[in-house]
Amino acid sequence: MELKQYLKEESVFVAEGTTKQQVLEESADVCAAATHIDRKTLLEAINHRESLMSTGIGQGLAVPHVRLAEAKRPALAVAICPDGIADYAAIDNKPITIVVLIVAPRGRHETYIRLLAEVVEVLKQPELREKIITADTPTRAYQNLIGEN
Amino acid sequence: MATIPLGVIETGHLSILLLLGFALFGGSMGARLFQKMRIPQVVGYIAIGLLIGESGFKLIASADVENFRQFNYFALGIIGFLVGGELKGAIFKKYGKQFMAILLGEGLGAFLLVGISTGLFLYFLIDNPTIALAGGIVFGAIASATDPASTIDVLWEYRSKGVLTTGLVAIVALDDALAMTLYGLGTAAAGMLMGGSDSFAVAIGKVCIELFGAIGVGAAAGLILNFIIRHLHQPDKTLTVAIGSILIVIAASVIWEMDVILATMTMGVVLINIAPRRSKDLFKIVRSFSPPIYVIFFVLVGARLGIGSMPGWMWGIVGLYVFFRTLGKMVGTYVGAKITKAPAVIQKYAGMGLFAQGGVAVGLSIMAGQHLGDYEVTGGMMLGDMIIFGVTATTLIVQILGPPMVKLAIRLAGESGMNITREDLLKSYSVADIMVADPATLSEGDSFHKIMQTLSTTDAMTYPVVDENKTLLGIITVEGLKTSLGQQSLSQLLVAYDLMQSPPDTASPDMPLETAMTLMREQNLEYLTVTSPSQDGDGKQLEGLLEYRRVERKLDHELLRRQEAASDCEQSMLLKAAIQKHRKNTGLTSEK
Repeated sequence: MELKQYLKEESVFVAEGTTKQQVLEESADVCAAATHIDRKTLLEAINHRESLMSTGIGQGLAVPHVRLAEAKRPALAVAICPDGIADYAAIDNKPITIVVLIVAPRGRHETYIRLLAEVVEVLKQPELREKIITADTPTRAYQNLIGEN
Repeated sequence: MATIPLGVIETGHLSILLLLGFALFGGSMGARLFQKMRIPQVVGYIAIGLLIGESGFKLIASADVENFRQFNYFALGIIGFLVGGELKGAIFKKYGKQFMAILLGEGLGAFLLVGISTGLFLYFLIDNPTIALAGGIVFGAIASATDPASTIDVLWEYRSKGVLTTGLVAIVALDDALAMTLYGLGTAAAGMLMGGSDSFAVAIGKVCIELFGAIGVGAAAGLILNFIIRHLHQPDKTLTVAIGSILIVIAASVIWEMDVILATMTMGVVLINIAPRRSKDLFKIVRSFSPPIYVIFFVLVGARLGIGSMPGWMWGIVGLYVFFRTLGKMVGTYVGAKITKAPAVIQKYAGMGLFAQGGVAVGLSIMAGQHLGDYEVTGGMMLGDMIIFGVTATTLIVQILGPPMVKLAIRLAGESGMNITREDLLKSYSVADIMVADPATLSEGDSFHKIMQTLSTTDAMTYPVVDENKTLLGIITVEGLKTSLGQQSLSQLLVAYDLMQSPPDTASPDMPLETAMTLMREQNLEYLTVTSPSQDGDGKQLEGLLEYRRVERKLDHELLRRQEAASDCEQSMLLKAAIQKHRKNTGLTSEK
C-alpha cells in the first residue's frame, strides 16, 4: 500500500479556499513543507500541469500530480472541500469535493504511477468519498482513507 | 627491472630501429597524402621509400636495406598466404579455364613483346646477337610477372568485389609461377647462349623443383596448420601458430631455393578449401596483423630502387620494356579472355589491372645479376647489372602507374566499394545520415488516448515530446509505458507530460555514427535523441532520433544491398556469357 506509506496524517486537511487556485495553493503548502521543495517551484509545476489538462476526473475527485527533480520522496496532500469547488473544470463539470495532490521524485516513475492508480482506485468508491467528506475531523478522514476505520 | 645503458646500444641496432620507424611513420604519412589525392596508398609507401632511399636523400644506408632481405621474404610470405586465402576451389571450377587462358595470354604477351623489342634494341646497340638474345629473354621473362602485393593492396583498400576482382586476384597470384617458369627456362637458355654449364634439361628440372616443391611444402604446411588450429580456440594463440608456420615455410622455401610466394599461397589455398569456416577467422586475424609489414615492405621497395648512375641508352630499354610490357599484358589478356568468352568486364578491364611490377621482378633481376654478372654488354656495363638497372627503373615507373590503373579498372567495372564490411559502413556514416529525421513526436498535453493512438500507427519504440518550436522536453518509450498500461483507471488522468522521462545523452547530427553507437552500447541505451542548440540558446532543438535496433537494421539492409549488387554484377556477367554461348550454339545472331 503506497498510499499508507506516503500519506501523513497531518497532510489531510479541510480546505479554507473556495476556488481551484486557492485549494491548489493550500495543498502545495502542505507538500512543500513535507518535501522541503520551494513552494513557488512546486506551484508553478502544478499550474503548468493543470494548464495541459484538468486533473478533475469527475465524481467530485481531483488528483493534481507532478514529478519534480527536487523531490526526494513522494508526498501527498488531501484537501477536503465539503462545499465543492465549482471552477475546477472537472470532466463531468461537477464541483470537486476531494483534492489529492501527489508530488513524486522525477526518477521514481513506477512509484508515482502506482500511487496515482491507488488513489484513484480507493476514491472511486462513493461510500468512502462520502465518509471522507462528512468526517468530523481530518484525522477521521485520514483513517478512512488508509482503511483504519 | 634491468635497463640498458645508452652507450651499450650499437649504432647498427639503432639505425635498424630508425629505419623501421621511418618506414612505418613516413609510409603512413605518404599513404595519407596520396589517398587525399585519390592515388592508392601503396604509391605513397613507395614514394616515401624513394625519398629516403638510394634515389632520394639516401637517409638509409643501402647496407641497412640489404639487411632486410629476410624481412622481405616474410612480407612476401604473408602476402602469398593471404592471397591463397582468397582462392576458393569454387572460383577455379567456375572460372578456371578463363583465368588460365588470360594468365597465359598476358604472361606470354609481355614475355614475347618485351623480349623481342629489348633484344632488337640491344642487337642494334652492341651488334652482339648472343648478348642481345640473352638480355631479351631475361627481360621478357621478368616482364611477365605482376606484383600481387600492390595489386591486392589496391583491391583491399577500395573494398573491391566482383568477377573482375576475383579474376585479378587469381591471375596475379598465379602469374608469379608463370614468371618463375619463364625466368628459369629463360636464364638457362641465356646461360647456354653465353656458354654456361647448365643444360636445358637441368634447367627444367630446377624449375620443376622450384614450383612443385613449393606447392608440396605449402600443401603439407597447410594440412599441419589446419590440424593444429583445430585444437586452438584463442585468436592470439592461433595467430602466433599461423605466423610461426608461415615463417617455417618461408625459411624452407629459401633454403631449398623454391618460390616463397607459391609455397605460402598453397598453404593458404589448402587451408581455405579444407576448413573454410575455421580458417576464415584465421585469415582475418593475419590480415589485421599485416599492415605494418606491408608498409615496411613497400617503403623498402622504394628505398632499394637506385637509378641515379644509369647510362643514357638504358632509358631506351626502359621505355621499350614499359611500353611493350603494357601492350603485351593488355593484348594478351584481351585475347585470352575473348577466346574463352570470359565476362565482358574481364575482357575490357583485366589488362589494366595487371601492370604493377614489384618484389618478384626485382628479386628475379637480382638473381639474374648473379647468374649473368660475368658478361659485358658495352662500356663496362655487365649484362647482370643492365638487367638490375632496367628492372629497377621500370619497376619505379610501373609501380607508380600500376596501382592507379588497378583502381581505374575496378571503378570502371563497378566493383569498387562492393566488399564493404559492417565496420566500414559504420565508419562511413554520420548520425545525420542514418537518423530518422522526422520521427513521430508527442506534445506534453497529449492525452493517454492520443499517445496510444500514435503508438499503434507507428513502429517506433521511442517518442520525443516537444513544444511548438520543436524544443525537446522529454521522451516517452514503449518500455517506459509498460507500468502505465495496466492502470486503466488512469487513462483519463494522464498526459504525455506525466509520462515523459528526461532524455539521456543526446547526439549532434554531425557526430560519427560509430561514436553514437558506442555511446548507446556503453550506456545500455536503446535510442539517442539527435539535437542542436535551440535558437534562444536555452534548450535543445530536436533534429531526429537514432534508435539502436533501427540503425542495426539499416546497416544490415545496406550491407545486403551492396553484397547483392556485387553478386548481381557477377551473375549478370555469367548470364551474358551463357546467352552468348547459347546464341552461338543455336546459330542465332546477337542483338545489335
